[in-house]
Amino acid sequence: MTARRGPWRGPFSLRWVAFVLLVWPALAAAQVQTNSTTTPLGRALMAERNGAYADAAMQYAAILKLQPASVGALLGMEHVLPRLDRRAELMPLVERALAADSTSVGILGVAVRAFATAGQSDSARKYVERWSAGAPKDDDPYREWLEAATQSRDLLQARLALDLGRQRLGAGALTIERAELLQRAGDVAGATEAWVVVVRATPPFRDGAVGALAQLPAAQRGLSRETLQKDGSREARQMLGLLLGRWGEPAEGLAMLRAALPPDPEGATALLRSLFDELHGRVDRASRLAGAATLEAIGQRESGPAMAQTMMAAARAFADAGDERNARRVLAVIAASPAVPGGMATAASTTLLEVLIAEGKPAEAERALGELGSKVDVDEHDRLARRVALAWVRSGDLSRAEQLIVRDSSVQGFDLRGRLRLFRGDLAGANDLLKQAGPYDEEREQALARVTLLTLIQAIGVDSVPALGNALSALERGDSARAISGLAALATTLKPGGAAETRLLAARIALATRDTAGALRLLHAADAKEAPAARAAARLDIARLSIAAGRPAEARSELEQLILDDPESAVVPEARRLRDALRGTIP
Amino acid sequence: MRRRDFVRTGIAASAGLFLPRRSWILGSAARATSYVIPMDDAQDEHLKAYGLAFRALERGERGEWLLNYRNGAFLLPASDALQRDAALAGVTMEPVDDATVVAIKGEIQASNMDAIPLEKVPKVAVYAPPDAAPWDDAVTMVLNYAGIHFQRVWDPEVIANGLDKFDWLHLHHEDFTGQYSKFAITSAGAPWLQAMMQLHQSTAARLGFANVPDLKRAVAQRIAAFVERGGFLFAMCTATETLDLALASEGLDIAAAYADGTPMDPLASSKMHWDKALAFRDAQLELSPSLAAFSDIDGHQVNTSERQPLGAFDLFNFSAKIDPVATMLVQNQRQVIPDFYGLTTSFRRSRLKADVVVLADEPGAPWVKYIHGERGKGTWTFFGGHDPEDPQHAIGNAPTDLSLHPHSPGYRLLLNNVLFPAAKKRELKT
Repeated sequence: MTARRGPWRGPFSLRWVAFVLLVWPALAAAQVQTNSTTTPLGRALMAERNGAYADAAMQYAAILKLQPASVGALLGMEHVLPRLDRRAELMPLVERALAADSTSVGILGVAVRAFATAGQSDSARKYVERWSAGAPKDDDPYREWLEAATQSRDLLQARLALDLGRQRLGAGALTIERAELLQRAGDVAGATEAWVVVVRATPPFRDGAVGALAQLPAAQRGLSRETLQKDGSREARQMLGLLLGRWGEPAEGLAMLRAALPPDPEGATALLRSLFDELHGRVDRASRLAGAATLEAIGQRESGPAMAQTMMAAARAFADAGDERNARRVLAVIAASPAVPGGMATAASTTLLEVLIAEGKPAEAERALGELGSKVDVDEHDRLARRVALAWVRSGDLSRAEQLIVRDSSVQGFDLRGRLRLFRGDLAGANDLLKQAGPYDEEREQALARVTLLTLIQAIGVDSVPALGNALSALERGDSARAISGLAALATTLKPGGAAETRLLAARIALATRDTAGALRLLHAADAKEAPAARAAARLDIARLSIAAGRPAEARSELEQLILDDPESAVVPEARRLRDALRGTIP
Repeated sequence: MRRRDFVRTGIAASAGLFLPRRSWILGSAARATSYVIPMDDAQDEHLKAYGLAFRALERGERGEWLLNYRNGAFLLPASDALQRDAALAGVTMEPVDDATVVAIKGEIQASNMDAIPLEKVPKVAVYAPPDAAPWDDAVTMVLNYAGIHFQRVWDPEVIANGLDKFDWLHLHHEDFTGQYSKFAITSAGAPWLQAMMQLHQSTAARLGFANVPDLKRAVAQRIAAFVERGGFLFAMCTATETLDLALASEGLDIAAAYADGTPMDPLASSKMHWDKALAFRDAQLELSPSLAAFSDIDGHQVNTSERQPLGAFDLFNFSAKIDPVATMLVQNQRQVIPDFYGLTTSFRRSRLKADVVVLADEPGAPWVKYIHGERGKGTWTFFGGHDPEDPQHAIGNAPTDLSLHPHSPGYRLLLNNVLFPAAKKRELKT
């Protein structure tokens, strides 16, 4: 058997092959007769399959007593004895089997593994030699020895097996095993070179080789990178491109890969797909941008609907990564292509609409929404309308926003309409609409945000507060300073409970804008006994600020006071956890 | 800052208004003279409850450990300090008056339960190298988390008889055969291994030993003597197996050449002095220097081709009034606990001495998990595995955050060991 196997194969593969070839037919034959337990070997196998290892071992032993060279029974013993903590009993059985039949590949395989596992390399080698004498061009004897030694963490013995195999079969043999062994032994440069040799000889192993090298610890990657650069071949550069994608340098990886793409489109696409598969699902912006660019590169090598689909995915990926300019450029390519089907054109228009919203162009976005008309279903239309409405809010036109969603009776529609009432300072109307939206939402974060707003409204306890609407509108437009000053001023006019919640909100906005001093003043002001929930939350934030300022003792004191004063607060578990971290009792 | 950020920042503060929170003190404290710290599923912080009891003893208060009553509850006298401590730690307490205490005592008297007075604060030492991270060892982690004070000791202190001032000693996952956990070949070149070898070699030289295996054997003998004199020893992971191998190998070379310059005696297994060991007998030593396994004591052999899959282990039930020590060691709110690997995970039954008390085992398996015994005036307890909440425990894994496992039954077993030296000594029948 000379078929090559990849680095991802399981251990003791030959044993399983032998099991299938030698044992299973025996069991199958037994089944044909009457049932699977009519032969001794069948009964032993059934016992083993049922987990009755002691019983199985007894039955295998009985078979071996009569037929010492029964490969099926010997393999069975090889399986069950280690589970029974009786591995030492295997060796005499192997020796008896060899005495009865010294040329059986199955027996020789067990012998090689048994001696290798026991650390008896001389004996393992002896049976490898005997095995290979009958199959001089077969690399399985050496591989079995090498795998058994590697499984036993005996790298010195594994090296012996590798060297002997390559000495006998030539330098082109056992290349994957050599690369694995070098990597396991910590020879990064040697392993990298060995993997390039593997890929050059057998290109389908590229992903496996890259997968193996990708596992190198960060400190060793530089050496692997240098080795691949020094090699400079197309294969090495392709591998380095894929590796850089895995190692957190996606832009460099894509550039490297593009420069090393093969001339044939299929090969180039396959390589780009490998990189995209690696980047797909990562959340950092660099990976998302590189993933989008990789998709575009794939799309450029395709035609017809496939091209349109890939380019659409690229445009969406650019937009999701915040690169609206490239998203619009790719969408224009799709729109200009005569080969794009109708459904795809609608998808392109939808994506374009979202890009326009992201770019802060509500009028153009609303026009695009109108052009879409009934090409999208009602739910999707409502969703897009809500997004355009929010874009109008950010541009300061609340009326246009309300007109767009006035008939939206979905949970999200009630939610947004409630917020628009809040932006106008109509707390009573906002309260009604937000309550109609209910306690649930598609996203938990959105539901909790609604609870937060209702809490604020209830704490203030007044029907109309235009100043609150102005402050929150300013916040929606990104004017944090105006929102903070508006909320702080409003707090001075409210009752203690509402004032504390309002100041807490202002403090959190200040924190988000890195105005630590301002936030601290507001947090201390929110520490009011009339508003225990706001007080506990404010104290937790004060403790966090003390930690950030390098004053752990103050933070600890603040946290302990929080826990003792408001043990029922929802933030107490977080306060305890922070206190534990300060005490150094958790990582 | 946009609306999305605003709503995010406001969530944590206000969500609490809508979430019912559980009190850390259940019931009325009006006429409470004591507090029951339940250790069944009513407890919010099982691990920190041990620290609460420990600190009460440190303050000079006395308490009782109610064995088998609500899975090993504590009864502590009411005090402002106790209430404050429990609130900060999040430990659940239930106030009880004298009449209720009497009723509890009656129930204990009539059942397989017992009330053990807690009156002495044990002086706790953890044997660990000076460069060990706090997260490198399960006991260090759980002592820190529970808030139980301890001191670190290592080879210089042990060799200088520094154990005399302690009641309780835990062994970090040390390799007392002096072979650096046998990672020297497979992890050669790794910075952490090089640092470990340098530290051990320089310490051995400084203390006048020819090599690290000689130093570690001397340390093992000092630890055995500590137990003989009445100390409480608790060991986990590979410290269990290698401590006994070091003790039993007096006059023998069981270390690989990379550790002491000479290969191990190939016939060492047949020459071991098992009478000097605490727990094990008749083990076969692992001869391969590159295999990270020491002997066939461990049933799981995690780093070899004989690696066995993890199952679950069962805690034994003991008679609280007849076997209070064993009962203390198995107090838990769970009787079946998922197993976890260590360099030494379990102990083969066939390798246990006859007088060893098995506290937990895996039914049907040829190994046990948790054992206890006596030597001279002291006791030892061995617990296989490395970290009860990190079953695979590979090198480089993120450290365990115990605040995510406040009810960990595996970690409770460790803390039972810490507190049991605090129990008032009386005639023990085990």
